[in-house]
Amino acid sequence: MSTSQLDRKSVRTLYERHGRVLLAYAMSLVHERSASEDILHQVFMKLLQRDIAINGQPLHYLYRAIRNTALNYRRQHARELELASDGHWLEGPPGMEENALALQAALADLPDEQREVLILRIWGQMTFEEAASALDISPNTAASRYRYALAKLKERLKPLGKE
Amino acid sequence: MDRQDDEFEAFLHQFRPRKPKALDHRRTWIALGIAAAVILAIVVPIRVVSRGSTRPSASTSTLTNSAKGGGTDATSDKSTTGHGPTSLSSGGGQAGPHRPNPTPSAATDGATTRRVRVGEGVRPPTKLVDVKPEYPEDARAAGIHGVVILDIVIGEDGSVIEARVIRSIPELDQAAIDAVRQWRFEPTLLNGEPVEVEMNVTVNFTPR
Repeated sequence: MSTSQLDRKSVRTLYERHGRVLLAYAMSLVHERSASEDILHQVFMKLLQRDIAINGQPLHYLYRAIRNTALNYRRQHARELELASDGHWLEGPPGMEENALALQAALADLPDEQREVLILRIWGQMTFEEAASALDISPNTAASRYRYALAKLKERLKPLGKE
Repeated sequence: MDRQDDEFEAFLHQFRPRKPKALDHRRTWIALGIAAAVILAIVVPIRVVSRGSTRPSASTSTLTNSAKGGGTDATSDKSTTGHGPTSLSSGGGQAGPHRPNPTPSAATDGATTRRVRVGEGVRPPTKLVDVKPEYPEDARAAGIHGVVILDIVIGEDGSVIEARVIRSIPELDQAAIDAVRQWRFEPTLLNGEPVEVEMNVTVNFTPR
């Protein structure tokens, strides 16, 4: 596997292109917007400072780095995070703001491993192979977690007329 | 994947994650802070000199108020001595348990209650007491479930003083309000003074 270091322009391009989904991914793990932005910025600042040599695809590295940093944060702030339920990270089209909140609440109820595949697939627009590679799991596992996640979400969002 | 799944995926695609702050927003804040400090250092002495014995604290408070777009008038002069510089420093987003933006929505003068809304730059306060809602038996029997969304106001002492339903499931609303009313949060401080905090919370009802 090749090792690379990114120049500043590439880091900024990655941030512009994938910042939203990476933030959503961090939010899905720590449920708190300020903390998630801190995590996202920590990861990118390390890249900007060129402290990091990346193995493989930069985007996959970013998901792994976000995950590790978020899990560390979660360990350190377990009590605070239990209830931080106001981190709005999804936005909907006009008139669907409440649906966005309901969807976010339903996502929060999914197990971490199902939610992360769903976020990568829906908003990261990754194939199962790409999501699997980013998460260090097999494509079959990614696909089955995704289907479980989709089924649970549909069930939870029935009151919105989505089933 | 069947057609229903495709439709549901299309539904999900209508939503998208919010955009994060610019990568170097801290640097921008620092630059703005330095610029504001320089302007204050230049403008305030000039005004003091030009007005002789007029009140220097008024210009500080005007600058602070205009930054938040609060539209308060000169009647706030009497209680704002010293608040300007403190607000500026807290705007830099330094570390702390909560970082409320200095943009109280109901700010009037130092003696009245101020309220901030959780969102950009304002973290939700830590919940100290959680009470789960009691699932109404009728609703459970009828298989009614889902998410009730409430807009709540947390008082200066950390108790929930207002709760308003913004996404309703009629059979579950009251149970959600009853539970949320018993929650308690860590009081939020703005410039060392307790403030009220407004935010949305979700209460899930999932039949077991």
